[in-house]
Amino acid sequence: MHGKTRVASNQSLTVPPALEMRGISKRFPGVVALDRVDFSVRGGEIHSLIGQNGAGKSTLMNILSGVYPPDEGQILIDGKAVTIGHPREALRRGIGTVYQELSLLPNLSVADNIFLGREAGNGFVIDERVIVDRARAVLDLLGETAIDVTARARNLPLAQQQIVEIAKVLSHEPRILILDEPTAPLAAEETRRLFAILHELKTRGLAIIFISHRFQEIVAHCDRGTILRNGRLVLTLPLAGVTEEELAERMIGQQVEGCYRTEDQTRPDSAEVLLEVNGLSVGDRVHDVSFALRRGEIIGVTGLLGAGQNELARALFGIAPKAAGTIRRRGREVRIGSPAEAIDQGICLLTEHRKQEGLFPDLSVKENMTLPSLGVFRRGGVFLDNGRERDAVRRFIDALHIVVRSAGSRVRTLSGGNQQKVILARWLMRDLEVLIFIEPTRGIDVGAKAEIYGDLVRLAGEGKGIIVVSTELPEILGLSDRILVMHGGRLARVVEREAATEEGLLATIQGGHADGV
Amino acid sequence: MRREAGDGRWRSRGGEARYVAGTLLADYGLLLMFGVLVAIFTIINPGFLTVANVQSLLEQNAALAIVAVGTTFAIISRNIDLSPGSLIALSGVALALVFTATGNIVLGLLAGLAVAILVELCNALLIVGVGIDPLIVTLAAWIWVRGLAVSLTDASSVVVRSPFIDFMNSFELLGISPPIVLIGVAYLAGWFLLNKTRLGRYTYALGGDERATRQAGVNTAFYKILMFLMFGVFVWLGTIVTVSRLGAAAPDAAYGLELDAIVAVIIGGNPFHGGEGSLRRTAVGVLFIAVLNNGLSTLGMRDASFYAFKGMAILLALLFDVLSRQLLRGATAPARGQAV
Amino acid sequence: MASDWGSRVDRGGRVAAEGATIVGDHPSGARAAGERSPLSLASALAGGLSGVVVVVALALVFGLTSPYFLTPDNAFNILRQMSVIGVVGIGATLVILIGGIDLSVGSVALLTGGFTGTLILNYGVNPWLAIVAGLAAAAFVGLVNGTLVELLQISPVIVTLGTLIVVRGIGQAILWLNNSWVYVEDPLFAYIAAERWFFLPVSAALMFILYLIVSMVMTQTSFGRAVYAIGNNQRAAVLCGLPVNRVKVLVYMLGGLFAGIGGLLVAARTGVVNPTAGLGLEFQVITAVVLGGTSLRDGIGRVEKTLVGTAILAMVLNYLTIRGVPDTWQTSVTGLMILAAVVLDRLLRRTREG
Repeated sequence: MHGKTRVASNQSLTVPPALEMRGISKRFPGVVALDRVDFSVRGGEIHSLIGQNGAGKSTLMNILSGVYPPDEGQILIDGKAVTIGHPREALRRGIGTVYQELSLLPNLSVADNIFLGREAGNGFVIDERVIVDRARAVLDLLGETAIDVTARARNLPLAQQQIVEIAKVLSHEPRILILDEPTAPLAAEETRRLFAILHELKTRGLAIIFISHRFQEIVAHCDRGTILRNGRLVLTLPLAGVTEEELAERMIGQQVEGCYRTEDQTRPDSAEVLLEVNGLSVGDRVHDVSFALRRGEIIGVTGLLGAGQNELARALFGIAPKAAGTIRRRGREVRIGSPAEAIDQGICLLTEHRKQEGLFPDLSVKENMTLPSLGVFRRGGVFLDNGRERDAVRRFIDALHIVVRSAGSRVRTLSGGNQQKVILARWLMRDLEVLIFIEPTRGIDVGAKAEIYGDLVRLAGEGKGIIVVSTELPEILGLSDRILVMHGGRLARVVEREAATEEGLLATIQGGHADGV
Repeated sequence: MRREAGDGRWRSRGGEARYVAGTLLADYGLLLMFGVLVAIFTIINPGFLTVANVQSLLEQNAALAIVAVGTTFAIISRNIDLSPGSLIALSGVALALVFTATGNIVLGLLAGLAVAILVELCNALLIVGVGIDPLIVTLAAWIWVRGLAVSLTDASSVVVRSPFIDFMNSFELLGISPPIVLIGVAYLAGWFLLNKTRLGRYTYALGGDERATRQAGVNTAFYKILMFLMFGVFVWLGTIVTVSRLGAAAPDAAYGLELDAIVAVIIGGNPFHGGEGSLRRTAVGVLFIAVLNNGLSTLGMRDASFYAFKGMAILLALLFDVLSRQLLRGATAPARGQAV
Repeated sequence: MASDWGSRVDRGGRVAAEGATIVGDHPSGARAAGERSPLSLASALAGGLSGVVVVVALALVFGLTSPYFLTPDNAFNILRQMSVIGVVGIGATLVILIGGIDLSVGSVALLTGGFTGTLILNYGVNPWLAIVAGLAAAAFVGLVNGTLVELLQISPVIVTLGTLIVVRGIGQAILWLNNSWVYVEDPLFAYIAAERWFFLPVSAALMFILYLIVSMVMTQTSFGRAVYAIGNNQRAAVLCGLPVNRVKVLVYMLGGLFAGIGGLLVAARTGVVNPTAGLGLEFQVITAVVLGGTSLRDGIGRVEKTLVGTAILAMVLNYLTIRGVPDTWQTSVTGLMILAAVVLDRLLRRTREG
């Protein structure tokens, strides 16, 4: 509403775009996240930002919403150059962001959440009636008359919580609205509802930036798209008449970085089956998944965010509740209800949350590495044999090329790649046969990534069975002997390495249909 | 962390029913136990449920009831304050010393207020400004404030003789005495602050998610400090009833009061992890502790078994709380993707 | 199992070296023998050393300003003062390391002293047996604490506040059997109170021995490693397959056990258990732990540091007594010392982190 009147009153002949970002660059240690990217959005359009994980989408949006400043480049709003030093400054300049993680306070009411920090009243005493009325008005504007604004946020279904989140941002009356993967956790009907709202907002003149990995939604609902690849702008194009396949092709480009595995490393089909999963279901997130992992094999598991691949991996390690199905190790059915039981069965998991779930930041490299294997280092039953422990740690530091001043350094002081290798060494030292990784290279720079890929291939060569869960297709393609594609919690397709292409995988990831198998 | 990885508490299946049951238990479970307790005491001692005894029960526990209002704010905002018991002693000593020196009760009352607010300001600045854990800060205050009260008086009580004290002790209208009025004032003011002002709103918000609250543009540091200062005012009210009741400022007054207050807030059904709660629950918890204190002592229970019985009753009440939380854990909204 | 490691690692080394060509050079030469492990003996000595420096500096200042302070007699006084807080502080440090807190130690000390004393006095039980029974009761309180905290997930502040009240009540009820005072006149206790080992009061010698043992256990056994791991990142410890619940309950039991030993030392020193025994001990102990520098939040700290904290606390209080500062003021000083310690720690950390 505001956007429209403002644009209409603009006297100049060429209306400047609502937002223009010119030549934006951003470097992080070891990576160029953005390299001179141009990006512009007009009022009254839904503009999709498209790219693989790590293409630079999040960095660009974080710069726009004031999370961090660009190293180079200029941001113009309505043709005027601005600096955005702080998230609240972004909000003041009319840029509202709906982040992936919800920020609602579960115990406050919907209305109180929407106006938290901006309560109506005289500055101290709150006028709750005004808040309720205004919240009602904002939600009515979105056509969401069914939401009770006095209900506690915790009592709303997720889709409605998300709409409240959007209402909260809209109550600041932004002219530019950023939505970061808002549809990832939503069901089809909820997604449809969300787009109805976005179209309504668009007709009011808002500039909407929409980030999603679902091409179907993008081509169906967005007006233009900007494609990023490896931190660079590929192109900006109108999306009318563009097919999902074209989009996928543009996004992938010619970048397949080649295979990390050489032909002679391919596993023999006759190798012993290390792990066999039959009809596994996990809560309502994974349904009826079956596969077998052989000695020396690397299986890649991929899918859209929330397609169930992470829960599958977690269930194999005993930290997600298994609802149905069996797990066999070397042909024998086993019960895995906790990490301890999984480890006893020779299975380990390295999760994507390295800091929260893997590291002991203030303990040394040595203590981080040997914790699950301490039983081996006991001397006479009670005390640890420091010499032997230290030797083993040194051997693994050398073998995995962990760059560290000494075995006594606190793990906190290491780089992401070296931290990941310390955790890997932890499980290798325990001599486990089945290694499961979730996003093994998230947050790790390019050089260390290649090293970790090398390590994985080598370990497969030594007879381990490896499962890599990842949303990075080049990683999956480069490492895997076989690729499992998950869609909506089900195993949509199994692809042998020789038959796998990035386009084919993307199609299955997006649509879940098992074409060409 | 991503949206799919929600908090375990949000997960649910058939959650609404459990949520209702859990909330009912949290709200009324203790009330039930309270009724049982009153019944037992009345059967054993028919004089228990008389107007006179109820009145004296309230007067005996007036300081606890008032301080528990402040404690409720602290717990809801996911803070803790161990200093009020000691602070009542010190603030009382300040009141008595200034009164003795000037002969002016108003100056004495103001001195007590100033000390209560200053100590809480000191706590708040260390918590908010330096970033030290509230448990440590107020634990230290628990010690040094009591120490100061003892040192300033050479460990002996300072008598306060004033018409004001006489008024507090002897005035009565329809069975309502000034300490009971002060309890009422404290709960009314607390209710207003908690439900109708920004201070209350942000008290809940701080306990729910401090980072999200700050991101919403709330000056969390300011409101935290304000909350502790307000606590100081409640402590001061507690000082007035304590000094009046004794007719003197005792350096060992209100020993352990802070613990009773915390226990009252928790067994009343306010969760220790903050983010929610109400003064009604606190009031029930306070009544429970008050009846326990009064009932056990009218039974002529000696010190030792008094503590044992009191402790047992409190543990039992805690079980109610745990039970309601267990129900609530699997409860609430049906959506919010299943967490791992 | 251990024997085939070498071979696998060697094989790994070779393959990894090939892989290294992908990314170019590895500055593995940078791995100088630089930092010490946070849990190593050397770092214990270094950490202890800085604490010892503070203690020595305090001793010098106090000695220079008060001629009596550095006399052997006074040194023994300080050591005796230290022993109770020091011993109870061992358990308290462990509990704090796993992210818990135990406020019930004072009541447990009373219970143990009262129970043991009553068994000896009223029932003529063999003193050693009575001590074992008393310590078992203490450990049982710890078990209750740990179980309630871990199984029912109640906050440790609330749980141990509850046991503080209940256990004090039970302890006092036991004392009532003896008209509220138990005189512990057993020769064993008299021996602890009067004799010296290696020129040390027995209670202080016991304290040092316990510190030595626990310090070894914490750094040289898998139990100690588990405690540090849980304290530093409990989630990761679970994912390492550690029996986290069992370890935490065991730590609460140790907290109770050491509180019980502290109660026995009090009984031995004063020869009597009265209803106020151990009152407020929990706060003194937490003061010592915090003064030592153990963090209440992230599982960083060492048991030996609490010994240093105890020494500092005892020296300051002793000095105040010598200088004629009334007892009453010493309480305030204790409280202010906690604040000084945490504020200093916070400021130092801020400057270190830039």
